[in-house]
Amino acid sequence: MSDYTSTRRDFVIQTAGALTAMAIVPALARGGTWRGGGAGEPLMVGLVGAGRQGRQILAELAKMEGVKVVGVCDVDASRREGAAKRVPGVQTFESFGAMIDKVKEMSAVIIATPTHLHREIALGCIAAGKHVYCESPLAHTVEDCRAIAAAAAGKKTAFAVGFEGRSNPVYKLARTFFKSDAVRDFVEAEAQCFKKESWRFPAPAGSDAAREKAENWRLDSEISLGLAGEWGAQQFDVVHWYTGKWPRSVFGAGSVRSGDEGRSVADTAMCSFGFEDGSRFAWNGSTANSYGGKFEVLRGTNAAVKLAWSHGWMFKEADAPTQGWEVYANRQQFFNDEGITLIADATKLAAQGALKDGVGLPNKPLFYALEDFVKSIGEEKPPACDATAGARSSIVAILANKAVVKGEMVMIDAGMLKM
Amino acid sequence: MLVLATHAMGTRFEIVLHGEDEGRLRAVGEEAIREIEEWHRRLSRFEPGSDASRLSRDADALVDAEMRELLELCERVRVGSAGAFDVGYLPLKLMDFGAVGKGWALDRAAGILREHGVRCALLHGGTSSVVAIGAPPGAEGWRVAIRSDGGVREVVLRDRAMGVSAPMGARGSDGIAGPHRLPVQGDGRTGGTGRDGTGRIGTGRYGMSHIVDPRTGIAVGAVDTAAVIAGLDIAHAAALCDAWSTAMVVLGKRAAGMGDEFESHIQTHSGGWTSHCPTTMDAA
Repeated sequence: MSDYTSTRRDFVIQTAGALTAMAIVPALARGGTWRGGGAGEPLMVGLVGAGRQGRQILAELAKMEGVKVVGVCDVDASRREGAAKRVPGVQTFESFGAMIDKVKEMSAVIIATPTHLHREIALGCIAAGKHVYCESPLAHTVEDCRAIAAAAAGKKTAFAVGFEGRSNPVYKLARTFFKSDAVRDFVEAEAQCFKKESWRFPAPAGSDAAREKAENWRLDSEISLGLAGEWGAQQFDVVHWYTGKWPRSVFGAGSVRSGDEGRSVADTAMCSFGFEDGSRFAWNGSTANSYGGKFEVLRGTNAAVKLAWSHGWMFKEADAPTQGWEVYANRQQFFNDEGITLIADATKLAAQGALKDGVGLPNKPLFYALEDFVKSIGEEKPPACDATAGARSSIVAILANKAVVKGEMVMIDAGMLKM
Repeated sequence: MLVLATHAMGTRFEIVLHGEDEGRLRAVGEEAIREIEEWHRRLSRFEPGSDASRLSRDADALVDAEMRELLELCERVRVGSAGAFDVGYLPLKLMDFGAVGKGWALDRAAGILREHGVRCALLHGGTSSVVAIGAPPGAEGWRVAIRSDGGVREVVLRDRAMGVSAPMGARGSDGIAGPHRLPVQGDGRTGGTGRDGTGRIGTGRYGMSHIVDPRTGIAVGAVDTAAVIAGLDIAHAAALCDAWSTAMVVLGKRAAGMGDEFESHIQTHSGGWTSHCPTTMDAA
């Protein structure tokens, strides 16, 4: 053992260890994100689905004070083992029902299973009196979305849908500008989501064909909502949330551009939504190319707002009136355009001398969505996206995928979106 | 053969995979690539929400079990190297995982490949951190060259990890064996820039060095290149090789705390390699 003098390193490690222990001992849970429960008791959470998204959720929950993951459920043993490594002491289960039955102290459940499995689990959680956070889209059929929304209606427990834009601090800030004279009258919106990948996910070693097929539910045209439903849904919801408009029609098209023989779900797709007032929203997505990534642009007569999940900018028209705060705003150049950087908590950051070009969101959008859910329970307030709003956006996504699959226009009946 | 790549941690990571079912291989490889990208985000000093940034701002920041493991690993090497390796040292007291992050990410990525049944793959981050799983068809292992001013040293890697450190930042490894050539960018030096690829810090005799002795704050450069190799049966082998190779550059010699499970090769500017191969001798 070296006699090298201890430094801050020791302190960090000791502190990290102490805090992990703290999360395990309810009485020691410090105040912070979670304000409910009384006597500093943490919020006891269960996770259903420990795949890639489930692992991300566990990582974000680990950053939150006063939240304790007490149960993890997954059909796959290796994923259960992985979750147990990430969350020491957590109980793991193969079936959702067993977790609900055995972990009585669990008051909230996060659902991160394949979309087509959401309904049964969500309804089971609601019936068991649990607070629920369900990943978006809410379900893979219109009927399932409506059933979940109906079951959640009027309950005292919270039901949140993971449409992350609504709790994203940058998006909330940008929305205040969008709703003001700074952007003025809505002109049109466009969005894209491009990321090169096969969209295949590997089943555990030694799995049979059925397991491999189940793992790759995104590529199963019988149950998949395709790129429009799985990727586009988040972006469709942003446009609905900003504009307050719901489309009356959607035209879609898609094809396989990556040369992946045997693939039936389009790897490249587009949707064009039409609103009652004649305005439009265009969306493109692909797993065959990455350029440009994921963003949304909402244009108004005075300015356009560009949102890229961790960053946001406003591009003003030359004839738009100058507002007082713009004098102090940060700007970024994009070829011929200059964007005003939209920074959440800009005043606070400026006071700390930390306001600089390109400053983005400190945490992943998922963190804020989960944090909002936890806060909504503690403060007994509606979550940023409740079951009704989540069902509406999910239904739009389901119909958009239908349009892509058929390559035609699909009408969206207003009654279908009434809950 | 299938090659996947991503840009992370200021350099280029590549994964070379051999196998029969290309669709499944790609899916597994992409999962490994995502893991590398995830650790890029978690260890970045430039992303305010990363674990590294949160720990820099607040020593009380909550971290998960995996991050605790990494901190504990760093602490073991810090103690074993008498402080020659320390992720906590920087003038601004920021946490900097540049000397261990690539290896850590490769360990996690290699773990995913092996869990999913991949038996033949080569992974590298900027050519200075390498993990070799199995051997290419018909070969005894992955033949890799360690470059330095004094020449090239060849090693054959099979189920082993390697970390290479060089204070001038332009060293790395380079695959050399015909069809099994490691497909690095350019001549093997442009793909990575050594330890962290993030530029040079520190002043002193070796002002261009990007490795600083955390005990003195002075840039080091007495050693041209240091390489450490360990078997994949050792937990976090690539991260440990990365960390120990940096410690060796700072110390100018093999660290006293390095166990016999670590093979090391070191070259000073005066030329010639000094090797320590306590268990097996894979140097060609």
